[in-house]
Amino acid sequence: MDYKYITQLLERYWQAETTVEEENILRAFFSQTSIPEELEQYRCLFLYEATQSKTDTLGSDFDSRMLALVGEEESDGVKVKAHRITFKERLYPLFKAAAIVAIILTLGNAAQFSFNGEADSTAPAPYHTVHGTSVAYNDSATIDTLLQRSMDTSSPVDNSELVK
Amino acid sequence: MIKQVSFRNDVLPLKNALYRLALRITLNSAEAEDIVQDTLIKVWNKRESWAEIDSIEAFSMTICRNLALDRIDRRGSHNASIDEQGIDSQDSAATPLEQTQQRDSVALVRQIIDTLPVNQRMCIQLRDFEGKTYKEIAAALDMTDEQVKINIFRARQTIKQRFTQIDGYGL
Repeated sequence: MDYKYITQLLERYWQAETTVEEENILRAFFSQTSIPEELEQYRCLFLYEATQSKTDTLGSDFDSRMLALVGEEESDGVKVKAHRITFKERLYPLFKAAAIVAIILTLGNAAQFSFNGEADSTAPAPYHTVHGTSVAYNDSATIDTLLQRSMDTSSPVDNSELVK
Repeated sequence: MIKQVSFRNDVLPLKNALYRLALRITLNSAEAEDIVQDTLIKVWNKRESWAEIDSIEAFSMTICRNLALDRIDRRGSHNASIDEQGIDSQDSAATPLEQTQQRDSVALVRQIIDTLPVNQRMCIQLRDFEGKTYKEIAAALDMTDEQVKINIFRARQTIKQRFTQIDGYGL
């Protein structure tokens, strides 16, 4: 395998002419297990560069101490995130309750209606006769006059009764 | 709308990079931890004026560098204590012998870098360990791009030279 590219990169690295990306390539190359002998000596340099970010860190006890110092809440490693609730969302349980009440009322009405409907079907007669007579009244002028007359006869009686 | 800032999400994640920078300057883990603490508090207390700051990270780095340089000035840079903590690197070496050799050589590289002049140490830390661009390093360390490049060039030349020496003696 040809390591010319790596050798060139390394040469430019010493001259401080490599880019960040090229330096990443070098670190990736030197993190391999098999490296040609002439480059082996530089392995520990790039290995150290690549691993320091994992070894030299501050632990969670530092976090707790800092959070206590600035007075920000910490709840045993459980992250508490503020959750914004809009006005609508706040009323949501109310909507739910209202919806339940509406459903119960609708069902109740429907049930009542169906029970009443059953009760009506057992006694269908009066409705029919009422309809029939009203039509007759409307059509007949004689009935109207009869009615008028009966009103005329009845009214003085009523009045006299009232006077008494 | 005012952006909601939180210490946990906006400031605390910077701790490790700041710690490594402070450690590279002071070479003492306890001091570095103190410096990170002070830096984070300072950055947090300035949160009202974050809108005027380009990069919170660069701003934090600058504060951290200043605090760390103050510390080594105060104790005198000549008797810098080299931190003796072990490196627990998860290396890929197969046998315990190889692991030991690798750990030893990593410790050696650390020693080479830690004995560089402080400006070179800071630049090499931000470049080779944190992967920052010259521009970002210049902003964080109050230097020009050119100064950053020169520091990195000199640091790498010294590292290379030390490697050649070690190779000559047989590592």
